[in-house]
Amino acid sequence: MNSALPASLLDYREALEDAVRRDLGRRRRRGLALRWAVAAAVVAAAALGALSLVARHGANVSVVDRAAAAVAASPGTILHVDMLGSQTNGDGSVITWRDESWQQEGPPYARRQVETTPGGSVTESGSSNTADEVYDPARNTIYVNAHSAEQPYAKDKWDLKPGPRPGTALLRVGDVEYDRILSTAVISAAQAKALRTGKDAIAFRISKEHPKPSVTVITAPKVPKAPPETPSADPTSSGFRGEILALLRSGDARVVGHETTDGRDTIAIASADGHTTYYVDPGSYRPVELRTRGTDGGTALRFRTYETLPLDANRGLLSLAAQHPDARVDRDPAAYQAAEQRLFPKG
Amino acid sequence: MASEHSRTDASLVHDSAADPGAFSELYARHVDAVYRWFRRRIDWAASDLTAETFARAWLVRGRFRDERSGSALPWLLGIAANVLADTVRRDRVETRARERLGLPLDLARDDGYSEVEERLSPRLALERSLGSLPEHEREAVELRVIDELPYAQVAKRLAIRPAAARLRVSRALRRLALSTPKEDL
Repeated sequence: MNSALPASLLDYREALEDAVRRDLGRRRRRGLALRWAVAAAVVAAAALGALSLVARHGANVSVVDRAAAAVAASPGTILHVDMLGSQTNGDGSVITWRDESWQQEGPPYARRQVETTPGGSVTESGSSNTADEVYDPARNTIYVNAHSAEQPYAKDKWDLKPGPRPGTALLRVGDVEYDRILSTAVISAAQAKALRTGKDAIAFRISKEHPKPSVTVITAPKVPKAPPETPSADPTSSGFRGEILALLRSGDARVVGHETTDGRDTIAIASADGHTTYYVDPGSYRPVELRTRGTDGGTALRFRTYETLPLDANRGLLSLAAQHPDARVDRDPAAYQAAEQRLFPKG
Repeated sequence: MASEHSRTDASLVHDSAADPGAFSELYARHVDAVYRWFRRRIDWAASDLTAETFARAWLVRGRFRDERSGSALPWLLGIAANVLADTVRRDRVETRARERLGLPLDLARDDGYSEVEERLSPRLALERSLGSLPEHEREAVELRVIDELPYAQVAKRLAIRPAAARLRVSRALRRLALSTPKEDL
């Protein structure tokens, strides 16, 4: 390598080699299809890589970057988080809640969550780009509120290949850049042309019989040119993770040292104004706790579990129907609204 | 194992499936060229985009085809062109491959680039570099590269034939040293 390269790229060679080693290790472990073994080994591999990086750089910026990478979305996986929240109010009172969720890290962003409210009631709900669901244990019923049957698909998530016959094209939808194809369809050359020009758009459809999405071509919405990405469409970019990433990517986050949190060693990263402190595991750099304080109290989110699971082996964790196979399914929108008001009386 | 110098790039890509050091060697061989390629186009983000290019190369290494007597540089520059195009389209420095691999995401900061105004928008930075082009060429490049219009629409907007539009864009890109291995550009 040329010594005229910036120091960051000279250092990057070792970081890249570590990442390649970890990635190869992950692929081998995936082959074993042992979920518990994969989870443990990923943490161990991440710890080894992280420690070696810290040893080489010794700079706080690497810790912040590592922490940001540890919470970044990983397509093709499910993020499982079990989180305890507490809010301290100005009058000294404290309210607590618990939220356990399984979030698909890519379209259609299916999610299931079990919420325990400060009052102690437990509710289980699910959502995706196509429907919202809520489970009523008293009636052993899953209420489904389907969204519009067809939704335009993001422009950069599809491509076209030559079709099987003259005058046809093969439409591929999914994370095409990395060959993670969600669905395919053979379309006409005219449709392909209309897609390229934006006259038509891609829609995906999920039927009751076939939960895997099938794609179809629809007339494009009356918007001249859809934005390449709609951040709000990705729920993984919001919530606590968005808050954490905003802190870590602000340029002002600094490592303030090691602290014992919930009986374990953590690295504390604080915002410049000191209002937010984020505690990460020193090995995996995954979240342990996020504390924010204002002028009249504060909030703490403690992560009892923060793990990434392979999607294919764990799809059932995203589905209310898979978790309650004997439950009745009610697809009446009015029944869904009534169930929501019954189960979430405070919204 | 063969010594590093005796192995072709194609061998390194192949061997990297079992030997992380092979991909590291590939990086060492070509990082200068890729970095220089980016510096000519978007100087302040060159480190980040170089890093992203090699992370993406690792993720898509299965697509590498040895078509240049064992050299992987054309393949790497093809990926670089895609990384640059994605950066311009999304108007933020590409990090997806590095995020997937748990790699550092902001090398520009390590290198001391702190000009906030420029860092706000890669698209703006690239557009500024177009300012040196004659008006008719700049307009053609903007329509084709930044707005990503097909040549037929570029030609329609400029009231010229598609072949002339292609020639105009090609000439402008050469002038900017913005040549790209992408066949469809």
